[in-house]
Amino acid sequence: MKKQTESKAAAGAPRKRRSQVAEIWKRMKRNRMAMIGLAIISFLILASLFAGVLAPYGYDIQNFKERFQSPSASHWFGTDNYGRDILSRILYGGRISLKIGLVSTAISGCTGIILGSIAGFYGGRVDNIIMRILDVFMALPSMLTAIVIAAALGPGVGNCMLALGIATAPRFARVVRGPVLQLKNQEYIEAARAIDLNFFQIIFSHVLPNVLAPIIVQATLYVAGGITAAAGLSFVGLGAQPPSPEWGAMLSAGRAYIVDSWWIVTFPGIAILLTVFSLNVLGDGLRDALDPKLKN
Amino acid sequence: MQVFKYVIKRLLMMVPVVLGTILILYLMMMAVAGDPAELILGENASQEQYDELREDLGLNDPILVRYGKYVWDIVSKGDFGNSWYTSKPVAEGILERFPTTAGLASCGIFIMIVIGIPIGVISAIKQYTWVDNLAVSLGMVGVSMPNFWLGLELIIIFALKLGWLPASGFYGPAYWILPGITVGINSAATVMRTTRSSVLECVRQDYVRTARAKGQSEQKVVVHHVLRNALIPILTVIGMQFGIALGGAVVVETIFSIPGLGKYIVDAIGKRDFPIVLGGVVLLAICFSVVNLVVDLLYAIVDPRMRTQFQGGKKKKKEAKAA
Repeated sequence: MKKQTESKAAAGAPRKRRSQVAEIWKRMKRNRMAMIGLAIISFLILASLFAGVLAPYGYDIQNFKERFQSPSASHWFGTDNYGRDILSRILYGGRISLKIGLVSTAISGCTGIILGSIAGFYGGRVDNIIMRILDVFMALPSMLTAIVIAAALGPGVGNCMLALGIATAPRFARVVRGPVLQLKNQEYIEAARAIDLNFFQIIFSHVLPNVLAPIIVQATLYVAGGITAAAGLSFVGLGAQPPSPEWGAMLSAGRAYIVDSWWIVTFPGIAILLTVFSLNVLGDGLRDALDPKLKN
Repeated sequence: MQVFKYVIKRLLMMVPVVLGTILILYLMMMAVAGDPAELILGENASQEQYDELREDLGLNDPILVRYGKYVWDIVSKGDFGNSWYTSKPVAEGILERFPTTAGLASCGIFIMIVIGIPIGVISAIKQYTWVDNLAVSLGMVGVSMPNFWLGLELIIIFALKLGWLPASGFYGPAYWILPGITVGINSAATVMRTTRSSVLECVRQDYVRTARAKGQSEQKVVVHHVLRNALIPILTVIGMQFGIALGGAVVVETIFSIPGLGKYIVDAIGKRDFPIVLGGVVLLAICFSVVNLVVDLLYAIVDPRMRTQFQGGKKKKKEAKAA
């Protein structure tokens, strides 16, 4: 009997899922801004993946004869104080910045989803304890929490990702908890409980698929936020360290030379702006496409 | 009276949160700080000096006892301990610098309200026109802009190229303009986006049509009927942005070399002078919690429906039963 229902579910699930994805994609395509965002972010991801092929120079190749060159045909974005080509550094740096954004969101997402679903699902005292502890973490703006954690852990890309993940996890947990709290009284959850599924089975196969929309939207926006915050941490000396071509570290290192060489800080900043912008519009577009009710 | 009770209740609820925040910060800082006595004395000190200092600093007590003493000193004497490097009281240092940071954050809030709300309202009223499209796109760019980068670009353009404004330091009103914009611009964009969607929700309500039908001027309709009702989400966002402005000020102060609390904390992080970091962050956390409380109180002023939250749970239940 159980086998039969399983095979039925297995046969039914993919068909339904495919149609839903197609439906969402159809709605997304109508949103011009979201499509622009998707195009920009795809371009940036590809560009940094193929940095080895695309970059005209190595990211750490110093050329003292060509220090502080303004943008020209041979150096599109100019060169920095060591004569390194800024375009090449931005292309390679994209790998680090995008990685920080993705990994910190993954940390924050996993922690947040687990804590949020436990709190929402069990409710009562468990919920109270978890949420009060998270309140403590949220008593500070997340940028400040990240600065403090990164200061305690010490500088570096890994610690920076961890700090950002921990700092934003409580907010992620809140996003998950709300819908879980609403869902847990639905009849199909009761049914799942009645057939004696354990917490993980219920959460992963029955609850989370139904709260996927806010999670995906939130995650997209967090990647964007993570990239900015990581650049901010590098800027105050807590993230990636020079000579790493991480965008924030490039800004921080170029700060000393802005009097004569505006391009050293301008182009990495534009790279951050473009990445964050595209992820933000993509996140907005996803939200509208996943939940048409929210759109106004 | 109810408001008073509510404020007291909220203040009491703040206590465990703040204590918890201090506990986590304290444990984190002390776990990584290494031995402060060694840091302070350097390598050439004798064992006796070292033991004496450890005793003075109370380092021989268990960490929770030290935490308790730390909190007690703050509560009873306003004493945040001493800097490990200069031995000056931390409380003096942070209180001296706090007004600058609060001023900078207020500047940011001012910019955010003055730019964010009007553009949001105009954009919503003229939905789907080129004005709206432009405002929405600019808003998105504004939200995505890293503020420290904007700060650098503002310095390049307005201080170095045009020479209109000073690039760094903090001596007079002209020095506040660029940092204020830098702190406020992200938040202004966020407030603009919230205002737009909140106003859009309100303009379609029946009472707005009624107001128009009464023949009220468009301006009055917008300000009295639409904006007043749209204000709750806007207020929430402004409250949240104040915290973000405080956090942002930490980085922005570094760019403009402003001698505020943020720069104090960042410099102390560089030197691993943890009592300063701890004290500064604790002060900011308290500040942030108070702002959240003030925002909640403002709701009640803006929206009488919200005043029910001042009633205790029991009374609410009673009323619900009676109904």
